[in-house]
Amino acid sequence: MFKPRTLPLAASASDPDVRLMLRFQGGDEEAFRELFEKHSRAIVNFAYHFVGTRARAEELAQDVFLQVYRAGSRYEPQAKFTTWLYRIATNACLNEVRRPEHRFKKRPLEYQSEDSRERAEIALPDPQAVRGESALAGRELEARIRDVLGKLPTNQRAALVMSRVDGMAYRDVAEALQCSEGAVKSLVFRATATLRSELAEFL
Amino acid sequence: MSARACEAMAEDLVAFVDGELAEAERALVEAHVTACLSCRREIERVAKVGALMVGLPRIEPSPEFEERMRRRLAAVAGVDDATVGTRRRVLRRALWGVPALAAAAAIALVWYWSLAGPARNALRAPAGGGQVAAARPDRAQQLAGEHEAQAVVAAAPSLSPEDLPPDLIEHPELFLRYPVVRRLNKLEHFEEVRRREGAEPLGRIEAQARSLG
Repeated sequence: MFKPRTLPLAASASDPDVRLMLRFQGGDEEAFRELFEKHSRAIVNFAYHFVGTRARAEELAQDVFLQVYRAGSRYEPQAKFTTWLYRIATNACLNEVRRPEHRFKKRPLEYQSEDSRERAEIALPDPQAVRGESALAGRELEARIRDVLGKLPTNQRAALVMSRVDGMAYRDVAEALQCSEGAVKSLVFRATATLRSELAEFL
Repeated sequence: MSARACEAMAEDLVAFVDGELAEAERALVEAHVTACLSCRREIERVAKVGALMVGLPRIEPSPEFEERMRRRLAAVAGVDDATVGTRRRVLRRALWGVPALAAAAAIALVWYWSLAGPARNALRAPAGGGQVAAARPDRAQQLAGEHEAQAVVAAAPSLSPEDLPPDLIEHPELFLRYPVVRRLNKLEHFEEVRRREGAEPLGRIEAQARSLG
């Protein structure tokens, strides 16, 4: 399933997250807790771009970390930890969006009520979370961006979110998506072209 | 600048904004946008799209998020422990199975020898009987019983007065020369029975019989 090693072992071993993962592999549960605290928020946000609800995004993020937990004993540092983590997350999200719609209707009521509360929260821009001159104009722009993102093909969306939102290099995105760097370049270009076209009035 | 050149450059412009171009490609883009106002503006728009993406509010996980994760991890660990426990039970059963099997084999051997031993002793005289007895203890018991019965049957007709020749009636010591008596003489228990009954040992009678011959 995984691609052949793309980073030298020494390079991946220098990754502090890889060292944490190796500590966890050695039985240090605290190392796993550190990894979870460090990356769980990013994975929740990544999943949120695919499922659109916080409750489901949290659930997916938990699924991802459970996979990490279970894979601990057979983990091999073949790449940066985040690349491996996003590969698991991407697979989880793509599997999720391929599921029939009725699956969401089966979720407990508590999640549905939480979702409605969440929509109101998300619709209001958080000034603390917005960076400098890229601050969003308001609810309408944010809703529009999320709407356009939601309509993008999943691989374009995954590539765009990983590269633009999570700041990953094309090389790492390629490894997470298990494709070539050239393919990632093309995916990001097409996603950007769609956003540019759909958001022309805000640019 | 031609539209075809700008079109060919479009993908590189996005990679240029993302800082993903190699040095040579970057130099080509820079050279192009210096002379192309359209592409320069395109770069500005692409950068704004990127800024909008970066500026999307991040959601914060709910306060229950970590607690749910902890519970799910505990459940997974419990399942794993149960799996390990099952494996340990299987291993323990396997480890206990070895001495249990050895003990069962030892009991079976003792039982077998307790049955086959007497039968083998009893059947030492008839040729081939011992092999049968070793192979099947129940058969050995059966054969031992049969042998004893045959001995009695073999002796009984010889001692029957109707079958005895007239010479033997006159000289009963000639009876010791009969083949059946010689065979019986070889049986240990025959001597024991005689001693138990207070009869004279056959050997002494035989000696007397030889002196008679």
